[in-house]
Amino acid sequence: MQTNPAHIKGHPNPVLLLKALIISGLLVISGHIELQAQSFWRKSDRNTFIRNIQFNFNIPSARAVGLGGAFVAIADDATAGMANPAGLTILTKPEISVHYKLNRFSHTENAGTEDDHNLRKHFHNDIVSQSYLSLVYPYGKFSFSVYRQELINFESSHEAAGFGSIFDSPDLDPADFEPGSKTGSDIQVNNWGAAFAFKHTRYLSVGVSTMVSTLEFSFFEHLFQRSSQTNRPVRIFSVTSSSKDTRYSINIGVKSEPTDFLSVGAVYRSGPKFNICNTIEDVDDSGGRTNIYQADQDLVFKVPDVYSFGAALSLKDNLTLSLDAVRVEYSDLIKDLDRNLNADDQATYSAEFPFTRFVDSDGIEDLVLKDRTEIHFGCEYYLMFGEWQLPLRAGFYTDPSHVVHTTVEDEALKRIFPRGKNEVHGTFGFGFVLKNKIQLDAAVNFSRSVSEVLLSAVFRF
Amino acid sequence: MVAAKTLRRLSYGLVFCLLVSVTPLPGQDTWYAAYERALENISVGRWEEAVADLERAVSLKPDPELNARTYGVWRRNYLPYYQLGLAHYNLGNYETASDYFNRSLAAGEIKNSPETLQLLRGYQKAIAEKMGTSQRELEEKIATEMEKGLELEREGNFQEALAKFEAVLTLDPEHKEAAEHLEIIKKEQEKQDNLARQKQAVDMTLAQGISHLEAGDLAEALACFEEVLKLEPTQPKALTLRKQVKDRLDRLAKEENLKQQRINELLREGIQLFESELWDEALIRFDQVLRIDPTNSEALKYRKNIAALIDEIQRRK
Repeated sequence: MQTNPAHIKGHPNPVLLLKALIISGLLVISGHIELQAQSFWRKSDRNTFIRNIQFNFNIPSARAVGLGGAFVAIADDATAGMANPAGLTILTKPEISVHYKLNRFSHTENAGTEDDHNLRKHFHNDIVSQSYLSLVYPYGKFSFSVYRQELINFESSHEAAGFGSIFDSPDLDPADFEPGSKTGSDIQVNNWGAAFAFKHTRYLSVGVSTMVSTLEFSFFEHLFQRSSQTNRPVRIFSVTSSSKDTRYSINIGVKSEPTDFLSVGAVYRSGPKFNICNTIEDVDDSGGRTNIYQADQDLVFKVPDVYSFGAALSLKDNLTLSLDAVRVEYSDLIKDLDRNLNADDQATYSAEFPFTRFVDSDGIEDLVLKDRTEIHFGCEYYLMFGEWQLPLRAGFYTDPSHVVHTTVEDEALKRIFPRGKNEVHGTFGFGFVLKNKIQLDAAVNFSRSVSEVLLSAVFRF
Repeated sequence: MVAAKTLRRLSYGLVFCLLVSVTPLPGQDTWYAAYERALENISVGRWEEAVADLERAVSLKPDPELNARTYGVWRRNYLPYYQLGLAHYNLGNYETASDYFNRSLAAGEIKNSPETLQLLRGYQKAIAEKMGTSQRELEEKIATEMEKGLELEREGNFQEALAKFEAVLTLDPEHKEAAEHLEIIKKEQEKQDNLARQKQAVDMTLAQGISHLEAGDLAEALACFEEVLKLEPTQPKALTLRKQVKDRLDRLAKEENLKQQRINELLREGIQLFESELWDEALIRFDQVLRIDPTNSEALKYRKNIAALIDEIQRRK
């Protein structure tokens, strides 16, 4: 992570500069991502800023979500391009699929005040979006697919009155910083993929999918304090970003059906590595004039790589059980970032904004984020009514905590970078098949922090 | 570092894909892929290609099935013999077509699809007409098919006989004798199926019993043989083995009884000697008991008491 001085207006204010440096040093490094769940970008060991991002690592169809996301060994519909490209060879007719998602993500921020350091404020954000769109065209033992997958579609905005609770500097009076912070983000990562699959034998298929990943990153966080002259809140500090980037990533899958009732699959999915740029602004209106200090900050945003292994068992003609193990390399997120907090660093001063740099004194990483393995399980049962069928699905998956957390023994920092909690998601779904041409599915996915409703439609030609 | 790692992983994946791609093997088809290709060929009148695809489908899945699951949520009616009949009919191979239609009827599944069944009957009549069959010829054909069916039935070839009677009924749906024999064969087949299932159960249970017997588990073995004799009371091997097991169990019971008597006798003597303070003699009796039954609690208790008493006496000295 680098901080590049851009332009400076006026004179530095040491207190605010210190704050700016803290924020610039940690703004993005504390990013954490849950598999299909939340990610927090928290920054500053003196202020609480929570940035939440949801990654949609789950297979984006209602059918797959209804199955608890255990779909690697099944992958037998138009979402296979992303789920497991090798599964595309199963299709015998062209298919178009479209998927929509309503997502509610809840999160909590430390919004402490001078009187109550542990005050927390709960927020939630709702997003409705088209999460996946695909076309599959099978041709003999080959199959081709193009698709658009929404990997991240995250919008949030919240205001936390009072963030002074964790100020531990005697120079700073928490009461001065009311009404606190205002944060907003709009982050979108889309994968535009082209998949190719080949059926090598009756029992084995391989597939590869190349993706162009686009990032649109819009973010702001403003800090306010009450002006002693006008008694109105005035902006004292901002971090803003409006970045775009395009990268390539790849998805490789293998699927085998050794018998009519058993299938196994494996997938490796690389995550794109984006560059983003933040602009840090420090506003100082002391001395009768307003001075604004600015600096740009280049950061790396690496989407974790994912490995999945799965097995599916078809019992009789109308019952399928599926089990996946998914390894998510969350550590990718912070690998290229500064993982040290300023709390135990040595401050060095320079003539250029942001004037202060922090040098790690102990060589120990203060922020850690470990890779995690998730277990997904699901079952699908077909109720038959003559020629009509009603698929019912249920499943669950484990969602181990993967929050960037601190190893520094400091109560204030522990409040900002807690260890997080493990979650278990429950999923249910059902579908309709109309005239063997149209498939409509719905599913819900719920956990402590996430509620999702998915709707899918597949058209078969 | 990350780029190097990603490249390494990609190279592994590509090498793997290459390895599996350079040795292509035949037989990539699934039954439903072959069947759907056949239906597409039929829809555009490519009859020979349709026959090839249908034969491929039949080799992968011989049994017709209505609403058969293909992949994903999709299902389809799988009636390959009817479609083969249709293709051959259009190729002018009327006899082959007729054979496939009869086979489709014999398989039975098509009867649950009235529309297709009606079409099949229509094709059969058309075949009869195209083959220039007059009413007399039709009656002769019916009589021939009936005769063949009866002969096959006498020979015990019920499956083929069934197809013949079905053929007769196709030509004359009101043919009572064919309908009666069809019913008789179905009942006979059901009976034979039941017998086969019973025989399978008898063989399996008998084998389990023998396995238990060889392992020395006489009670389990006896239960198995009893089970076999319930299913087939005159099963000779089960009768012999049950007798053997019962004899062995009786013998063992007697031996056990004698052993218990001896133990009781030794315990009684030992206790008398103990009460007479003849510790060494008593100890011998209890040791004899423990040689017969090492876990005998009475003997163990007395032995312990004697040891304690001897120990106490020696301490007092």
